[in-house]
Parts: sequence; structure tokens; C-alpha cells
Amino acid sequence: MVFDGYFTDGQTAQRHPVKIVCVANQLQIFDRHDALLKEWSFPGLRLTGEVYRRQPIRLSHRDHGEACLILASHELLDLLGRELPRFRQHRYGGDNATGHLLLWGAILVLVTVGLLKGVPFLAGPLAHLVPARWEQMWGEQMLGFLGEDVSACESVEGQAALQVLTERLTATTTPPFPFKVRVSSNPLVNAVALPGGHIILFQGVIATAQSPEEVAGILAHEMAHEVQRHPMRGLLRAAGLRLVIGALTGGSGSSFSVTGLGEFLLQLSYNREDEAEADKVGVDMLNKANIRGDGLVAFFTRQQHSEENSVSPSATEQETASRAGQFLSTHPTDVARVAAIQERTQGTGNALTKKQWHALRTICEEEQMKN
Amino acid sequence: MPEKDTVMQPNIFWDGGETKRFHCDAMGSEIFRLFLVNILLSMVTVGLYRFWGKTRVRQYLWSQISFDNDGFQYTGRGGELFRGFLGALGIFACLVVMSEGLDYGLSLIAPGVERTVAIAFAVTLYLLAGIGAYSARRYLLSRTCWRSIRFGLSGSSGTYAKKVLYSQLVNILTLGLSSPFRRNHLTSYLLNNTWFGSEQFVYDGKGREMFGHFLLAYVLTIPTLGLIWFWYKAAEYRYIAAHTQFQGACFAVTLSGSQLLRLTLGNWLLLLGTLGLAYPLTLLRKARALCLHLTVEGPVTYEVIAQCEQPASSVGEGLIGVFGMNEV
Repeated sequence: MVFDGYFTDGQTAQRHPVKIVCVANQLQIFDRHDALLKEWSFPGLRLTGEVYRRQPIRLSHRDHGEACLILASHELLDLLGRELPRFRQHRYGGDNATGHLLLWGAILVLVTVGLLKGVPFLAGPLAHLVPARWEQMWGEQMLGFLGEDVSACESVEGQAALQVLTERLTATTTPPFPFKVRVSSNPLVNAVALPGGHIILFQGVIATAQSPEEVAGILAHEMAHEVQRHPMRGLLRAAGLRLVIGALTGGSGSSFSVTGLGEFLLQLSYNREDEAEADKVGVDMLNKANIRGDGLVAFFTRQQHSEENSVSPSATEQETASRAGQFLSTHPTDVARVAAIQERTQGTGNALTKKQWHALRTICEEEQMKN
Repeated sequence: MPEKDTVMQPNIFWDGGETKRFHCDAMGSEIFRLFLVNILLSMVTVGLYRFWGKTRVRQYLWSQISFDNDGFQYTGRGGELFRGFLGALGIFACLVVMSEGLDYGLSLIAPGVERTVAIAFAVTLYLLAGIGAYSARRYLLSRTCWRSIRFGLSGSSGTYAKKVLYSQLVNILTLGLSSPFRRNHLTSYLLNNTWFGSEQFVYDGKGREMFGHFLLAYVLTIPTLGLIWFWYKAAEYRYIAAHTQFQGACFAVTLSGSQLLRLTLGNWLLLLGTLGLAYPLTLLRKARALCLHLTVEGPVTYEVIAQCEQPASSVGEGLIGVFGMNEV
């Protein structure tokens, strides 16, 4: 059988029209004038890439470098298949592309959903396996990075009062690392649990709180984040999600903003889960320490109200409203959340004595004078 | 039974008046399937498969694009990209350690020089990005074959990176007005160092010849809400192609501003509408537009184009990968 084709010798870019004859165990390649150009033995033959029905086939040979044989007719493949098993197994690229697309798409959806569910699920237990020392180092680094913005207020009586409250709450649980609680003179109405037991209550929280139980409730909530290793869990979850979502968008890179948005929304929903868990564990801590939980309820309710009234024209009210926004932006609050806390709370005692509460309220006085 | 193909037309060698065209056979379903498999394998291999996946996509795209009835071939390997990535990671690790060490050492001897170290670090990063871009292109060209002959890129990636840096500084000083000169300068270095086998591409464009267009676009940016830049970009493509020669042949691009606008806008919308999943389709649209709008006119003497060996490393690909600049 004679095939028409082209031959490129790998030396120059010229292509030669040739005739190809299949004899015994080799391909004989003849030029235009029927002179024998090359003999390619079967064992070294290979396809240069996948074959598509709409394209010519391209063969190269182990012993002939970059030389290439190009044939329009695919019949040679069948012929070679009779002699060489690897050509027999050959399938066309692009065949049944739609079927494959649906199949792989379905598998991909399953795997993606599995990973999106599985990664956050695994992040919790995994976080508890990370050595506490590592998380503490991470936390110290973050503190160093935040620097001046979160420097602690240093009134001696205030710190003593904070210490009393911290110890009462610590006694109710077995934390993976010692708690290091500080009040920062920053007027934000918010509190954060940094990795490794570092809790920062911003001065705005103390200033707007109307009872020591409110501060105790917020502190217990942040401590609960630490006990549940939420910062580490968040990190693991974010890394896992970044991997899944990064892979989903293929080569387009994770910098693409829409991907970022999806990731952000997912994170946000997990954030709410973490918040709910911290509420639960935090209220349990309050119960064990016999501290009234109505402080936390009052604080959340007030934040919510000032948020709802944020259309109010009065400048001072607007100010409070925007400050409440600070808190709600990281602690999304709704009626259900407040109700859940209310239902769970059992404590009846006070958090601090009047004297201690006064000391805590004025913990940042020196720093404020300086400013 | 394989159908008789009509792709192979009777070959016309270096016929003087012939306009030679590119042709793209790629199909959305095929490239999409490739991406799906890549995503899946990347997920289960903690991202490691992406080097091999990227190679698969290139193999496919190259094989589906033909010029003058002969297909391109991509001969790169996933392992090469992986090694390049490791190399780039090594370079970055060294750099960070060095900069931290220097920072600490200097703060002991001469406090206050941290700023200098930080600036030096930033400049080094900028140079590395330029080096990465150039050597990534070198790698890509050296792994691209047509009629069994490899492409190549000579020149030094360090020189290119310096040109990128200097021209950027000038550009800042001139409030961006030197952009066309910068673009021309860099294009000239890239194209004049590009080879197909033993034959070199020649680019003889002048920055000042694009300056008039540029100034117009610069002035009209606000009244046209920036859309004028699509027309400028298209004009720039046309200009660069028209001033690029290979042997006796000249390139030509026929892309108009509105066509470029439609292509770009379409791709944005596709990505937005699918949260980025349609990326392979945008790639395909670009490849098709390239094939549709790029032509080569004039004689080429194929018999004198000989195979040429030019070493190329894949570390550059790794570098721009770290910077997040690489596409396919």
C-alpha cells in the first residue's frame, strides 16, 4: 500500500512531498523521483502527539531525531496497529468530546462539593493537632506587626480587675495556651482573638459597656474562640479553600476578583459558624463561672439597635451607629443569635465588684491623657 | 473508519505573491475537557499537577494551530516546568534570607539604612520579574516547533529586565508620555532576538511613529471613558506587525479597534458570568482572533532555514509563576 505524505528532515524547514510504502517491518520513504530517502523501522515509530480526526497524522522515529512524517490518510494507523500493539490501542483525541465533558464535569462538581464541605470540616480537628507553641509564635508575630495600634493600657488597678475576670473565666476551661488579655486605648468598639491566646479588647467596648457583665460576656466569647482554636482553624480553612478555588479557575490565577468574592462569601459563612460556636462555648464559660449572661444579651441588643437607627440625623447618634457597625462587621448579629444566648444563659452572679468595675473603666485614662 | 482529510492541500513552496495564513482547529468542548481534568487532578495533588496540566493545554493548542497548512508542535514537558518552579522558589528563598540578614546586620552597624535595603529589595523583585518574563518567553519559543524546526530567543534576560526598569522610570518621570517609545524599545529587543531556526526576525518600528496616535488616545481618555485605548492598542498591533519581517516576508495584522473591544469585552463578560470558569473559552477566543487577523505576505526560502540549538531554562516560567503573571 502506498501513501502520499510530506517529510521534514529536522535539518531545514523545507518539507518534501514523499511516497510512503509499508514493507515487512519498516516504512520506506521515497522522494518525488522515487528515490529511497529513508527507512524507518517499526519498533522506533511513534506519534508526535494526539491524533485528531480532522488533522493529518504525524510520525517521528526514535533513531531519526526531529524528522517528521506527515500523512493525510489515517489508514496507515490501522495498518501499523496490526503490527504494533501500541498503535492498536490508539484512540482519537476529541472523540466524543461532549460526553467526556459531561462526565468530567460531573466528577469535578462532586469532588469540588466534597472538598468545599470537607476542608472546613477537617480544619477543626486539624487545628487542634497543630502544636500550641506554633500558634503562640504566630500570635506574637501578629502583635508585633500591629504594634502601636494595639498597645496595652497600663493602669495598675485596671489590669488587676481585668486579671480577676480573666482568671475566673480561665478556671472554667482547659485552654491550650495561657490567655494574655489586654485593653487597647484604640477607641474601636470591638474585640479580637488573635492566634495563641492573645485577646484584645478595644477601649470602645469598655466605654460603651454599661455593666461589667457585658465586658465579661465579650471576653468569654473571645476566649471561646481561642479554646476552639478558631484562628488556626480559619487559617487552615482559608488555605484549603484557596487551593480548591485556585484550582477551579485554572490558569486564570487567584487574583481574579470574582474568585476572590466567592472565597470571601464562603469565608463569611464559616465566620458565622465560628461566631455561633464561640457564643455557645462562651456562655457555658459564663455559666460555670456563675456570671450573669444578660450582659452579653444587652450589649448585642444595643449594638443592633444603634445599627438599625443609623438613619438618625443626630451627629452623636450617627457616631454611635457607625461605631456599632465596627462591631457588627466582624460579629454579625441577629435576633436568633441573641435569643440563643438568652436561652442558654444560667449564671446569676456579678462579674466584678463596683470598685473593680470602676478600675477597669478607667484603665486607659493615662494613655488618653497623653493623647 | 478515519475519514479522508482535506487539510493537506497540494503544497505551494515560497510562492511570491501568496498570503499565508494561520488556522485554528481547536474546539471549545475539547479544551474545556482538558481544563476540567486539570482542575480535578490539581485538586487531588495539592496543586502539583498544574505544571503537567499546563503542558497538556499547550500541546493541544499548539497542535490545533497551523500555519501554511502545517501544524505547530509543543515539545515542552511538565517536569521541566516543575523544576523551573522549584528553581524559582529557591531563588526567592535565598533572596528573602539575604534581605532579612542584610536588614538585621545593617541595623546593628548603621541604623536607618533599612529603607535602602527595602528599596534594593523592591528593585531586585522588579528586575526578577523582567528576567522571568524574558526567559519564560525563551523557554516557550525553544519548545515550539514548526516543520520540525525550533524557534528561539537570543539576547540576555538581564539586559531586557534593565530596559524594563529604566524605561519604567522614564515613563514615571514623563507622566506616561514615553509609553510608545518604551513599548517600541522593548518590542524591538524581543523581536530582533527572535529566531526561527537559523533565521532571525527583524523589527524596524520607531516609537515616534506611534506617538501621534498615543497622544490622541491620551487626550481622549476621559471623553471616551478610556475606550479609545482599544483603538490605540489595535493600531499598535497593526504597526508592530507591519514592521516585522522574516526573510522576505512581512507580517500584517488586520485587527480593528472595535474587533479588539468586542474580543476583550466578551472575554471579561465570560469570566464574570462564570466566576472565572470560562477561562479556557477566553483562551480559545484569543487564539482564534490571532489566527484570523495575522497574515504573512511575501516569499520565504524554507530550504535555508536550518535547525539551531539554543539552550533555554524553565526557571523563568517559575519566576513569573511566583509573580502570578503567567497565562498559558
